Amino acid sequence: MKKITLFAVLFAFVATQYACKDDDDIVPASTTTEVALNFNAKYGADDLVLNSTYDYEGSGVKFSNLNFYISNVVLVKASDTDQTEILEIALIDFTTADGNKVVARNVPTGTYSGLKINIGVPSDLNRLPPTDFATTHPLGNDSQYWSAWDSYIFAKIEGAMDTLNAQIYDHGFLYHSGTDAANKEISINRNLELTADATGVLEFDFDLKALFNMNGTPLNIKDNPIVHDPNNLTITLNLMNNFNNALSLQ
Amino acid sequence: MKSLFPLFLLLSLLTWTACEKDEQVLDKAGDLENVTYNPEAYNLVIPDNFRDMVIPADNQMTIEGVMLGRKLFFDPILSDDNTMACASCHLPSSSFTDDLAVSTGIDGIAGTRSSMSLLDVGFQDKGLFWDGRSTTLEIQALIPVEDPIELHTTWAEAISRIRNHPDYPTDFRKAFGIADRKDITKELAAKALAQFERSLVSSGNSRYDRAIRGEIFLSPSELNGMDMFFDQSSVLPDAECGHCHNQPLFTTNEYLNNGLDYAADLNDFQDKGYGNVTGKKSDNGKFKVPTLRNIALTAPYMHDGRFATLEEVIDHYNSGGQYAENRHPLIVDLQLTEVQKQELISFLHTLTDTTFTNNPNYSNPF
Ligand code: HEC
Ligand code: HEC
Repeated sequence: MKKITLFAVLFAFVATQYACKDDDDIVPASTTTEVALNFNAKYGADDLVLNSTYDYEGSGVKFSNLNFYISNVVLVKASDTDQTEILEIALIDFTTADGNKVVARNVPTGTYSGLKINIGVPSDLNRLPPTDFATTHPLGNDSQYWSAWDSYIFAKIEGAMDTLNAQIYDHGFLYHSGTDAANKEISINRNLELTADATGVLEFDFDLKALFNMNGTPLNIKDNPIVHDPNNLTITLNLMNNFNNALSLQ
Repeated sequence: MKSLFPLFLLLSLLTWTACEKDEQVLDKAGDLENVTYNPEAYNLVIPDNFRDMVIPADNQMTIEGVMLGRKLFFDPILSDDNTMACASCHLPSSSFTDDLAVSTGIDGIAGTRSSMSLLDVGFQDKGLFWDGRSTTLEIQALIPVEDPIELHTTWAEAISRIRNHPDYPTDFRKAFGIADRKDITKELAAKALAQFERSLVSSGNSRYDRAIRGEIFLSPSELNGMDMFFDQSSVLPDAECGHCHNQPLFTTNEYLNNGLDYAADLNDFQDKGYGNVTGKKSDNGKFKVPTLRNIALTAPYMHDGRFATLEEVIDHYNSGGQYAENRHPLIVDLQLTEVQKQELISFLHTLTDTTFTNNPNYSNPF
C-alpha cells in the first residue's frame, strides 16, 4: 500500500513537471491574455432597451428580439498578412443578461493595428445543422437555423410598430438574414496593445438605427414587415452591409 | 448551553423511537444487500437527424432504471387514493397526453392547463411545462405527486408505500444499488421516472421522416403542405410554421405568443404563462412552442386545450390571431385557401409516429 502511495505521488509530481513543460512549449502562459468583446446596443444616440419605445420616422417602435453572429474574429498586425484568429464564432444576443458579451481566450500579447470581424456564419460552418452541435454551442440553437435556406439565421431583428401613434403596436416586423452571400466582413483600424497582466477590453457600439438605412432613406418597415426570403435578398444584403456603419469601436 | 440538554435528550429519544418503529415495519438494516446490483447501460436509439440527448452525469440511463421508472409511471401507488398514475394524464396511445382540454386530478378538480406530450421530452433544453417553470425532468417529476389537482398525496406517504411494497425495494436496489429499503427516497424515484421519460424518443418511422430519408414519396397535397409549412415554395403562400416548429423536433423550445388572446395591455392576460416565471411584462402571454410530432394524436390543442381540431388550429393561424403587443411578428393573416389549409393538415398527419405510440417498451408493465 505504502509503495503504491509513494509511486503515485512520484508519478503525479513527474506528470506535473511535464505538463508545465508542455505548456511552455506551445503557448507560453506569460505571452497570452484574454480579450473581452462587449457590444452595447444603441438607437442613434440613445441606449437601446428592448421592449421600450423609440421613434422611427414619426411612428412608435419597440424592438423585441435582436441578435447576430460574429465569426472569424482576427487581430491584424501592421502588415495585413499577419493575422491571428482570436474567436471562431459567437452569438451576440441582446435578449439575455450577458448575451452581448464574449471573451476570447489565449490571445497572444503584442501590438496590433486593427481587427476584422465577420458578421454571419462562414460557409463551412453554415453547412452543418444545429443538431451537429451541443445545445450550449453558439450554433446548437434550433431557433437560429432556417431549414428553407439551409442556413443559420445570421441576424434577427424583430419588433412591432405603432403606425397611428395610438399606443397600439400592431404592425409586427421581422428581419432575418442568412445564406452564405449575406456574410459581411468588417475591418476596424485601431492600435491595440495587449499585455499579459490585463484583460483587453473592446467596447463596441451597435447602432440599430444605422442598420435601417437603405441608400440614404430609412427602410419602409410598414411596407416590408417580413424579410426572410432567400430568393429576394435585396433588403437582407442592404441590412448586412449596414453593419459597417452600425458597428463602431468606442 | 445547559438549557439545551433536555431538548437534546428529547431529540435522541424521538430518534430512537423513530428507529424502533421503522424496524418493526421494515427488515433489518442492509436488507437488500443480497440482491445483485449490476445495472446494464441503456442503449438509447435516436434518429440520425436528431442531436445527442444531454443526460445528467449523475443519472445515466440503465435498463433497470428505465424499467423502474416505467413501473412508477404507470402505478397508481403515487396517488392518494390509488386511482391515478402519471399515465392517467399521459397516455401512450395519445403520445403521452390525455384527451382532455384541461387535465383533472384525483379529486375531480380540473386544472387550467392541458396535458403535454412527452414525446422527445428528453431533448427539451429550455425548461419544462407550458411556462418553463421546471428546469429538469428530475425536478419536474417531484411535482405531480403533491399537486392538489393531480396525484394529491405526499411524498412521505408514497415513499412509505414503496418501501413496504413486495417488489419495489428490490427494483430500487437493482437500479441504484441502495443497501436498504430505507434508502429509497423521492429523489431516486424522480431519477427513475426521468430515465423512463428520456427513453420516449421518436422512432424515425413517421411518413415525414421516411420521406426525407428518400424511402417513400409524400403525396402532392402533403408536399404542398410541407412547402407552405417551411416557406419553401415561390408559388404557394408562406404559412411560417417552420420558424417556430422547426425540424427535426418540430419545436425550437422557445416561449412565444402565437396570438391566442387579445390583450390591450400585457398585464391583461389571465394566464401570464412564461411571464409568471421570468417576471418580465414582455413575456406575459407567452407559452412554450410544443412539438408537432404526433400532433394528429394529441387533440385538443394549445395550453388550455381551446381548439378541438387541427382545422380550428389552422383557422386560428390563418386569421393572424388576436392582438397583443408581443404577438410574434409571424402571426399574420396568411391568406390560405380552403384547399391549402387542408394540404397543411395533411402534412401535419405525416408527423404521426405509431411505431412510437405502439412501442411495447412504453406500455403499461402491469
Ligand atoms: C392530473 C393529470 C396529470 C398527472 C397525474 C400528471 N401530469 Fe404531467 N402534466 C399534466 C399537465 C396538465 C401538464 C402541463 C402543466 C403546465 O404546464 O402547467 C403536464 C406536464 C408534464 C411535463 C412537462 C412536459 C413538457 O414538455 O414540458 C412532464 C415531464 C410531465 N408532465 C410528467 C409527469 C409525470 C412524471 C407524472 C407522474 C409523476 C405526471 N406528469 C403526472 C398533467 C398531469
Ligand atoms: C410565432 C411562432 C409560431 C408560429 C409561426 C406557429 N406556431 Fe404553432 N404554436 C406556437 C406556440 C407558442 C404554441 C403554444 C401556444 C399556447 O398553447 O399558448 C403553438 C401551438 C401549436 C399547436 C398546438 C400544439 C399542442 O400540442 O397543443 C399546433 C397544432 C400548432 N401550433 C401548429 C402550427 C401550424 C400548423 C403553424 C403554421 C400555420 C404554426 N403552428 C405556426 C408557436 C408558433
